[in-house]
Amino acid sequence: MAANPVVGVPRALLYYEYGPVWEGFLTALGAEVRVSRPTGRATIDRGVGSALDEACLPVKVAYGHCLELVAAGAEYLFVPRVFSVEPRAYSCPKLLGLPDMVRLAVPDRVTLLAPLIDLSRGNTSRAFRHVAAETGSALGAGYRRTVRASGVLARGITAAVRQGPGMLGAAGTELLPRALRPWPSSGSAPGTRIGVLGHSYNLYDRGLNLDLLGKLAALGVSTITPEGYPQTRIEAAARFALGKPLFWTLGRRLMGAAYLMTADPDLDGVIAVASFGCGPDSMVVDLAMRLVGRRRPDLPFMELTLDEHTGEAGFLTMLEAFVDLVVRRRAG
Amino acid sequence: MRREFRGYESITFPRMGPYSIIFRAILEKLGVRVVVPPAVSSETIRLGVRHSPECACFPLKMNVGNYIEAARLGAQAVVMVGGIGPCRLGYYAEVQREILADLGIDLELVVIEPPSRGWLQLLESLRRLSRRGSLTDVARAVAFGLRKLRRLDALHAMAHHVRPREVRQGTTSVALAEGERLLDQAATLAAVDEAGRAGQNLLAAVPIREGVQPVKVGLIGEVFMVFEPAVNSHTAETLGHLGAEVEQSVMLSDWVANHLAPGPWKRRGDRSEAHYRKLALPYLGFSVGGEGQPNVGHTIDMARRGVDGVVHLAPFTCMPEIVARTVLNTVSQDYGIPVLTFFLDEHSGETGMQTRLEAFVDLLERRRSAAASGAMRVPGAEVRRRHESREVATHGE
Repeated sequence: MAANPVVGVPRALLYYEYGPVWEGFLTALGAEVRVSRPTGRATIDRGVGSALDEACLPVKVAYGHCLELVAAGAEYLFVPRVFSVEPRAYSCPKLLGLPDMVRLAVPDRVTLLAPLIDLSRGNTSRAFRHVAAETGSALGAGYRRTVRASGVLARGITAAVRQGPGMLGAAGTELLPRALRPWPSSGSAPGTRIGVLGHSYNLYDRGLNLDLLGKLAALGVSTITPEGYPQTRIEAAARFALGKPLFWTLGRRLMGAAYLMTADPDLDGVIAVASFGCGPDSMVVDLAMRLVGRRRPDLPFMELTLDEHTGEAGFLTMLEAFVDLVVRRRAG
Repeated sequence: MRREFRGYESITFPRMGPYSIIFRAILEKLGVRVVVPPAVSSETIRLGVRHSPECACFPLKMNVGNYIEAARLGAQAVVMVGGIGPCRLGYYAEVQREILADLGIDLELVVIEPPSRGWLQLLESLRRLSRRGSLTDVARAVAFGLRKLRRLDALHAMAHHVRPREVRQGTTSVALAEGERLLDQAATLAAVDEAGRAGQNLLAAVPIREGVQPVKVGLIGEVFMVFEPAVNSHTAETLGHLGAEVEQSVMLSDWVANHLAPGPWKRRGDRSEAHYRKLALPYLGFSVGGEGQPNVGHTIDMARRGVDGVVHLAPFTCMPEIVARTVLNTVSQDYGIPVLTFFLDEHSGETGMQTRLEAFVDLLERRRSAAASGAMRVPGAEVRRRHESREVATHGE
């Protein structure tokens, strides 16, 4: 191929799980990767204007990122169809249909790279080779590049699934951007620790969540998120906490983390963050709330719902009120 | 809490439109005392909504309302279906169990999981419900239920056809209700056939206007919302009264033939779900769970066969149907077929829906006359070409 093809990668949804892996993969295929800018108000507005009203906020934000990349001239958009990364568990239906929905929202001149990632029958090198071959051929990459990219993808996804995105740095693949690491505390309430439950694309996208973690840090609270626990412990906890195995990978992590938080004696409160209209979370956060209520009735628990209408002032008030409650309980 | 298993004293099930007749038929043949849940009322909805997570899908909330009301009438256990995702149905039981436990309601949820290990497993799970009976008895009970189901769905299909043509509004529904009552009472296979025939005769006897050409409206959506009139403001009946002939994409007999029927009986060919999924591929290249992908295929199929418009029913927040609706925007444009979608929950008002359905049928009638008189160019050749190029692109990818 002549010049390196420019491939846009939307900084949304599963970018927060596998982003560095996508970038390594596409670079290995010889592409010039362009990740969209962090979510801004304009991104949200663009996405809201294009997506179905009933879609959840993270999907609308993903639309916004895709449209921004197209407006900035990307010829290719990388929107993989992540069907399953482990046996008997899947992504939510909106993620399954995301490439088709985005396809209809962007102009025909943009080539959508939407390889199917299906590890439900096992984490096999064949599964990854297939993805590399499909994407590589669309980009005009040669055989050697495709094989190398397949290896990058396999190692990266395996590490991410086995160890969680928080551990990606330790696995030797690209280090996570600073924004994805757990936040330290500062200021007036040293030692107050709050567990924050939620999907990575809700927790670490400061534009989407009105800088939730930053606000908590500013209120003097240190936080721990699911990504702060080792993935193996989370997996074991999820199996233990649930009767029937849960068939949403991200939902499992949330439940496992909820269980680990109830077992954490240093935690002073739990906030569960979900997007309005999120299908899996409508059930998983409810189950998490009941779990926490059963195992630790003494632990304050608040459910926060995000949507495009969430106002900054009201949001901050709720966080302040919760932190107040938690701090007072700790003191008294 | 697992009690030493000796079968259940009394069993209930979720309410799902006319199909209580079928569930009751099978359970009674299994020798179980059945508590038929009361018809869905505003009280059922109130109870369900009050005790369910806010953004849970409407069918889950409805079920919870049914279970609470049935428990009050003495039911000990509920038989329901499970699933393997990614649609939420597969996890209903887990959430509902917690809700009932926290309410102090002692009702055991008996989940029939999809028969991944073959249909013998399905029969075995049904056998556990009853206190007596061999697998043969269960198979007979199921066969009885299926015969009733086919007769029942045939009556409904016939009613869809007769209703827009009836001389006096409501006569079809009265005949249908009587046919259902006869079927409900039939206790043997022969009686079921006789009741089915009687029902058809009643419908055939409804006075109709000759030479009427009703617009054809396809009815698609998430199955619970399509089957239960109490939550969809009686969509099918309303459309019929507005003079439209309803073509229902899926009835329970279709769903069973596609999902529960064992190998040789599983539906194949061009009325199978697999066929509709294939039709949807140029727009939705992968299953999204539930009936999302098949609904897109049904719409395309209906458009090709000259159906005038489609009404699409879904619970608010239903993930597969949100994806389906998104791509249906383009399908609707490409095929020139209007698609009216309702995302329904406890806040949906009957009047609002009635008004929109009236306007929709009106629109379809005017489009049809305009197309016939040549006054309006209905998208034809040029639009098909665009669709075809998309089809080629997908296969080539």
